[in-house]
Amino acid sequence: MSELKVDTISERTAANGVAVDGVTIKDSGLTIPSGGTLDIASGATIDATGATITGFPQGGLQHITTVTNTSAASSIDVAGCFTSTYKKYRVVMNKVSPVTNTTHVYLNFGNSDLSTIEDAYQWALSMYAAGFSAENQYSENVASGSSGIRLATDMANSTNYGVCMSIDIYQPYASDVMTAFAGHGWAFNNSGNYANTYMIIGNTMASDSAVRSESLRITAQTGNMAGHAETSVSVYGYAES
Amino acid sequence: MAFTKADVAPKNVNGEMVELSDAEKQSIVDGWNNPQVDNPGDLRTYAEKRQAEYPSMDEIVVALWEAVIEERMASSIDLQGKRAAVKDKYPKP
Repeated sequence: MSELKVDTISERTAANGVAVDGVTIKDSGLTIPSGGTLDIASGATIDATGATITGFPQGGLQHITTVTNTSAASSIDVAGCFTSTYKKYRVVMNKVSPVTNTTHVYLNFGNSDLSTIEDAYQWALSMYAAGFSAENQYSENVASGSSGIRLATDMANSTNYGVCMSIDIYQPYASDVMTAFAGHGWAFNNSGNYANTYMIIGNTMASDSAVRSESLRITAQTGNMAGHAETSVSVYGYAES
Repeated sequence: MAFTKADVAPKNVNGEMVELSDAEKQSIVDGWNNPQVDNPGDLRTYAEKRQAEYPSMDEIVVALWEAVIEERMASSIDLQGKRAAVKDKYPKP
């Protein structure tokens, strides 16, 4: 076995770079020839932090942010999560519960810092309960004065019963169309005493007034939102390529 | 139980707890103490809305009787105006 120790290897002619057993190093670039393989051994790490990555398929859900809530809060805000980067988003809630027992949980859209909250919505919420008890539908259709989009009815204030729900949001950042949403999830109706499946659909009614939705806020109808170790709200963007 | 401003916790903005002003707390307390009920809006079809406001069949029969048998047109003209106004109010989508 021989070993070559040098500080620098430079190309002999400017056009060719340096070839090492078929792999070419040239002008700060490394070229694996056609048919070659770049093999990353088990336990190794590829660190591309801050790098520009091209060529890899990047479609699918892209994580934007996760907000946890470990102490009581008057609202759980995810500010500035909707931008021009994506047209469609998914919001995933885990164990989101109110402090007050038997109260509704609401979602609202707002501007970038939530200094303006949307109050015009059309929404419909269907509730299907285990044991077919307390099944119901709720809806709202108002041009102003809405408390928000109801995600859960008469919600119990136990972490074990927190709202677990995924909602797709369509074009919230567009200023020339309404924000539409559709989702489903699990919650606990304290009045019915059953676990419930919820289906929510709806839209903002701001399509004619060029209002875009840049943020979201989750509140309780009465009282604070509870803080728990497992409570989180995640936002993902749908990357198309 | 009535809520007070002391009951209002800070807001959680992107994971940071942010204290609220007194005015913001008061606004939240007012909402908690007077929660709004959902307003489902008017979900009737245009035909249902028209039907609810059209003149009654009794009025129409009387107006027709007066127009055809008694040759007095005032009631039927009046009813036609009312029907047209309802149609204008609730146009076909």
